[in-house]
Amino acid sequence: MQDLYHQQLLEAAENKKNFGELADFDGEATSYNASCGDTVSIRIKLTSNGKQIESVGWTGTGCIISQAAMGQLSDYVVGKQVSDIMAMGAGEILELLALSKIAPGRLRCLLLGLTTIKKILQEKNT
Amino acid sequence: MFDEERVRRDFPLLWRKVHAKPLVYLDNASTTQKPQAVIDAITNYYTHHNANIHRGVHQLSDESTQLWNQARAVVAGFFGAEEDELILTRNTTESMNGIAYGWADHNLTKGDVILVSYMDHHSNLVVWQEAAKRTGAKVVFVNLTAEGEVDLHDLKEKLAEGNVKLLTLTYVSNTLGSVCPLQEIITLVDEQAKKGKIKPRIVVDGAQAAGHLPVDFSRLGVDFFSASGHKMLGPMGSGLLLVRKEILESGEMRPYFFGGGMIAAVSVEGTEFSSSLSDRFTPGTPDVASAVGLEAACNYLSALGMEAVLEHDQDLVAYALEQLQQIPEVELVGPLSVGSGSQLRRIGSVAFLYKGVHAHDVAQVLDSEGVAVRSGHHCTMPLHVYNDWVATTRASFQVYNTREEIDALVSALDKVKRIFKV
Repeated sequence: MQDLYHQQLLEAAENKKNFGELADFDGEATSYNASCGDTVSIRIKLTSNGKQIESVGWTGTGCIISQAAMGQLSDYVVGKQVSDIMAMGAGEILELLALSKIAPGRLRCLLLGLTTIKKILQEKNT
Repeated sequence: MFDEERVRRDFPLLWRKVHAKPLVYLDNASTTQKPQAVIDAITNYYTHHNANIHRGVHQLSDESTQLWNQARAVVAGFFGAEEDELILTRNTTESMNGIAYGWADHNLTKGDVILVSYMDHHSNLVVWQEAAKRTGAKVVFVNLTAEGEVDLHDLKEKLAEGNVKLLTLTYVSNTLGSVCPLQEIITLVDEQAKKGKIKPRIVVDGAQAAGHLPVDFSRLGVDFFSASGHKMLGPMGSGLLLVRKEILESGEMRPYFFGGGMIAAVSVEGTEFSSSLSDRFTPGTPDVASAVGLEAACNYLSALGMEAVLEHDQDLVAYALEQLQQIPEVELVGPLSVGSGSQLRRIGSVAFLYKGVHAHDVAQVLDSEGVAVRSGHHCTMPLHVYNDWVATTRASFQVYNTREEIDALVSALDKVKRIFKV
């Protein structure tokens, strides 16, 4: 159990990076994890050419996995290419959280932030 | 009361370990484990009797038909209903959809109200939202009291508006555990009817009541009753809908699935439906094995005695409430006492918030100790929003659970405190 809830993860959920609303943003979305009550609302500011993420702000409540994942992810994506983020999956999020695996029942918690960011980026692209 | 240890021996799955710890299965409100008698009934059906019903003149078809009819008779009898009043379904959700498509679509219109409550399971809510869209009726919510019971005062006021055509009630809440005072509510409905108001049809979601307390449909005074077989020791894919006979006979409720097996005659011009009520609502080849399995579950519960099953449930719920209330981080939801006699307040489960820790994280730690519980919304999102709960953790019980397992839950909660340094 300590393997899952290791110190770094608990700290990541406690000190949520980029937590708060962005006033200046290009896209936003809110997602729910209907089965467990997790929720994240994300706002993203892109660089002027629209190809990179300049800043991210988010708010939300939920389990440690969803909140730690969102916090670490929000930090990771800043400065990254939109196309690289669109190619991310569960493996990369596990790496950000220093986890080797996750139970199928927690996969949606793990991916809530990433799918929401992708949703925003996709809407900006279309 | 019966001997739990003897009962436990009948459930082979309970013998296994989880994470090298003895399994403590407290997720019975989601689905229950199955006794050997149910597993054997299904195996026996497929090993010796499998054939399509009603269609063949050969021996196997005869046997299968007889087993189907016998299963229907036992299941109907278990719930105090006539065989003609029983429609076998896959689960409560399918039963609710049956009422919506078979009854609501033909009897509701613009201006009618479907009265629901904040505690209703999505299966007893989403179907009505959709039926409202189709018919022009409106879904109105009845408030709850602070302890999570239907607010009878608010219910009375909403009934007095005179436009309620359908009233849906949750017999036992899957999240709050609270028991609906059906008799009191039926009296309220009758009083309104005497004043010349429309008498609404009453739907009861019995998913968490079936297999927990005796149910006598003939004396319940409601029009529709839905339940899931798999939540009462029966197989997955077994459920039931009871409909008062006169509603079926008069054609007030119509078939909602069509095809073979439910017809009297089919011609190029059209179809005459079967005059047999039991056939009219069961088109296509039914799941005979599940019906036979559900019959075995009913027989198993009847042998224990439903009064004894209820007594055992009440002992566990009261003990769980008492133990959990001693943990400062635990905030229980729903009534804090079980009540008694005709004033039963709580059945089957205890759900709670754990201070500072999300329900999913609580459940994950409990799982590491072999304790299986449910966490999240439990398909009652409006209830969670109404109370401003992010998510709750629920322990729910069945005939094979013991006080020692509740102790195991309580000590596993200690680990939650340690890991998250609450």
